[in-house]
Amino acid sequence: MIEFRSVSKAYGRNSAVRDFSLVVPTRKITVLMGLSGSGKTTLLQMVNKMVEPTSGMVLVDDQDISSLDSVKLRRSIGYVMQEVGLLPHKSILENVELIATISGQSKQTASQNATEMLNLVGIDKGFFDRYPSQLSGGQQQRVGVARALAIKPNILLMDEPFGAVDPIVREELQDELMRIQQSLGLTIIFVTHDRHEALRLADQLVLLSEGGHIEQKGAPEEFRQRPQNDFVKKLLGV
Amino acid sequence: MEWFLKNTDFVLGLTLTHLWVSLVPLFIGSVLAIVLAKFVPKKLISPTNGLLGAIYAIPSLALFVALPAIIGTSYLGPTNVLVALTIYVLASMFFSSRDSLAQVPDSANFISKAQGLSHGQHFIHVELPLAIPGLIAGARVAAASTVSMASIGAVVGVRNLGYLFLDGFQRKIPDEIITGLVMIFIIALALDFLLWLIGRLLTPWTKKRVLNV
Repeated sequence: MIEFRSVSKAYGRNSAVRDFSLVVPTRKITVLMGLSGSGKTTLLQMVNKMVEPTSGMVLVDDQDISSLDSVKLRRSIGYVMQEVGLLPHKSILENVELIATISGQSKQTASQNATEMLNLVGIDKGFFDRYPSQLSGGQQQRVGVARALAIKPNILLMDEPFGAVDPIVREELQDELMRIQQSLGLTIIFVTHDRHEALRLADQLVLLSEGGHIEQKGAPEEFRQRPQNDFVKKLLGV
Repeated sequence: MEWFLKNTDFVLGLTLTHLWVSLVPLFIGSVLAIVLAKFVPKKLISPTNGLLGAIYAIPSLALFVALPAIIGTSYLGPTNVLVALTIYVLASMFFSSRDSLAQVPDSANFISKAQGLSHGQHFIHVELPLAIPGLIAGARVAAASTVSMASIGAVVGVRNLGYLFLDGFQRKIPDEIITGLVMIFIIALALDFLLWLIGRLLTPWTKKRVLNV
């Protein structure tokens, strides 16, 4: 379980997030949806301490993460983002293995594990020795997901991961994500501004307006049946 | 050619000296350049670069002669020359090293931090390998200029290929001067080729940019 306890984040005079609280249930997909300026990425990055809240705290399994070592914490949480960020000088397999080998796993274990994750996301063995620039955008993002899973995390943070791939591939990736989430029992926080994606993936949907203000949260059906205000109606088109 | 054939051993001896007098500064200077490029804080980059640029503008003979007064070494002998050439390599490679280390795409920088690479690991596994093409390019320029500048060391008592210029000039033996020129040229070409090859071997990914769909 991840819990935001009245977190705020200010950059100088501008506040990106004001007094935000939320419980993210274990083994579910929580989608943070909002327009730019809603603070959704800021909130996501508080979970692995890429952003430190100005006030308030984030708890993972009831532990205040501000007291945890950043490097250790980050190695236990998968991170996937739109730009993927594969290392251009390492092969696909090496990209996926990297964190495991760095944390001291044997080359063999790391490679076995990486192979398993690449299979899971549907990357064929023939691609393992290639470099990222030799893959299509959709394939690169699959590798990005495999890399995040290779550290065997319980938590996966995803920042508009499928925003840059074409609509057909996007749906495929969404389906596969749901399948993987189910089979590995992952807790996922998924950030998006795409309403179809949000309604499709969410177990818990959290709709944000500026500054991380929660307009409505709940299961997608609740949004369809009882949108709470015009902002919600407009953003979700319901 | 005749002169060279008569003095082969002598020339080869000078060539060896010339090689190590060039290689040692090249190695130490480039390592120093990378270390400085990595650790000099952003604020101090411009002053550092200005200072190094000013040092680079000092004529090499002047620096060879001035160094003993500054660092207390003997006027003759290789130490001054080695130190001076190292400073030149450092000065010429600093800025390009800084640029080379900034070659990591923002997204890769971010994700490697987000996935828990420490600063040191990020440097070893991400920054340094991606900097190789730029570092090699800088080293190739530095190598050529070092090999040529090293010959001036002959004036302050380092018997390398530069000696052939001094001696050939004093005794009016054009063949001796030409021999020196040719040997320096060969060394410079060989080092350049070697650096190119090292760069090629260390960056297999740059050859495989086939498609980017």
